[in-house]
Amino acid sequence: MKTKKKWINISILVVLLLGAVVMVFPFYYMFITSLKQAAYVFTVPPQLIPKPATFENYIFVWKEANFGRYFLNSVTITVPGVALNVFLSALTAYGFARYDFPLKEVIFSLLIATLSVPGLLLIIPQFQIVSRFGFLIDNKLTVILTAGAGGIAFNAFFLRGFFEGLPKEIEESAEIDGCNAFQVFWYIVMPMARPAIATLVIMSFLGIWDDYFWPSLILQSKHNWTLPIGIMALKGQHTVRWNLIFAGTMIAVTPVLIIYFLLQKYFVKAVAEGGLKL
Amino acid sequence: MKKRSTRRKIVGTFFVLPGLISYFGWTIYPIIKSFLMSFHKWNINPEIPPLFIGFENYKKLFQDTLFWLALKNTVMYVLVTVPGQIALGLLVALLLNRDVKGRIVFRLLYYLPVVTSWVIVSAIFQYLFATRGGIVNFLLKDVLHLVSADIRWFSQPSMAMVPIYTLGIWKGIGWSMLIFLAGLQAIPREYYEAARVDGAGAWTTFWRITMPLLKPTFVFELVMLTIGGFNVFLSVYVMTGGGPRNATQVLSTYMFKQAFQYFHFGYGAAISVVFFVLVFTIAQLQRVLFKRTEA
Repeated sequence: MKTKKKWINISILVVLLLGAVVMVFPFYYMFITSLKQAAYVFTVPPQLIPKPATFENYIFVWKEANFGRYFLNSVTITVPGVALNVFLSALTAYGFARYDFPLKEVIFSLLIATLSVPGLLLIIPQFQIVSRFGFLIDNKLTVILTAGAGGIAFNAFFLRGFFEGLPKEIEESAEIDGCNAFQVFWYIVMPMARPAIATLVIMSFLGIWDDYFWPSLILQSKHNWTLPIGIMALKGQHTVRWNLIFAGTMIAVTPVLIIYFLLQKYFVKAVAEGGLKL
Repeated sequence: MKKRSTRRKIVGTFFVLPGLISYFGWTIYPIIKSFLMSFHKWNINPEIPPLFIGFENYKKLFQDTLFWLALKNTVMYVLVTVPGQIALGLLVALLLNRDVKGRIVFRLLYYLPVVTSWVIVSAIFQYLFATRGGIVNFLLKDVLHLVSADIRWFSQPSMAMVPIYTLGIWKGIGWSMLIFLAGLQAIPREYYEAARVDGAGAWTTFWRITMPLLKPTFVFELVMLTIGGFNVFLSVYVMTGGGPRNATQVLSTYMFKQAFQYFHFGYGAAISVVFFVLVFTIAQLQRVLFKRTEA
């Protein structure tokens, strides 16, 4: 009986290990290909350890292919975009959680009803709105603002429940002590809501950092491009140079991976609760 | 007292106003506008006003063979990837829901594809499925000897959906696993203990206790993954662009092509409206259907 159980445990471990290899191998392969010289990209049998390994692809991509610039653009769009998105969402959710205002529950039902509206339905009119104002096209600020305004419905829905679960008494006593409504929100509620806010920050970060489609419609000139647009441009060239492309994708994915391994607890929560997005 | 509640209403309004303005401007208005646009013919030139043409776009759409092909490909994608993600996600969740060494590490690794962007994983998969020197063909031909010649994954219309299906399942297993793990952990331990006392084996316990109690989780996964599957876009856009000869054209890429390559905004809007109605109906149907069988 005991040996049977042991064997079951070992075979489970083997299955899990094989699965893990399938899940991780593509990432490993991307990484080693980014270290290969062009001549070694399509060898048969494929090289599983790059020999000779080179860092040249990274230098080329960062300098010649402008990924340094794209990285900077991605950061300058993502950081304020996330801040704006989280701030707007938290304000809205807090209003729904603690205050009463005309049509409150009607509007909240509307928010929930539109949760599963695909981005596909929105994108043509959104593009129409933006292109009506010439200065919004090819402007990083447009992407920051639209990123900030995105997903408010889901975020408000997600945070409202959390805010409602916080003890009301602390806010009331702060109010008696002379805090105004915004001070209560900013200095009392937001710090208490830190776990939920962290989850929201991650969700928002992933959405904005990885977004390709919308920014590619708006940011037309090269000096405004973000990392995903740069990757797609490298891919779109006549001779597809995978070693360069993967140096580019490594640059784009590294910040995500670092944050993922550091904040895995919140990450898992974020994507599980965030469901599936386009 | 009355005064205080009025004041609170004003303060509350101020809290929600910025968020709601952006929500109405950036979600509600575009939804309405999409419907309106689908009844118009739009010109690229903004000087020329859109022309109201009633249901013309929809009439054209239902006679458009490419639209039907894109719909078929999208439905196929859903039919293949949704069961695939559910089955494999459940399998991994069941294996991880016991005292396995390195549970946390496994969960972390299986979840990795979920947090990586579609653009990046699609590029990787295109490389894995390359005809000459791609590692998938190497495995099939040179290691396992299952095929005698390299498969032309991306230039053979009958094969082109395979890498897209594979990527869809691979990327979704982690999410599916996580939701099932949450579902499994919500099942009270006493049920299993009672089953053991009654002498039920592992197999009976699984079919009589685990599966029925996981039903809400199944319904949730089914609805979410179906919605997600219909939304398939970037994997196709990055790997094949809808080709070869529209063999991988899906609804979203077809809409993109009509709207942003041909600038047929009205027609594109009509596609997106049909798409929305379809997804919404199917999701509601699934919910109602499975709720009913539960009672």
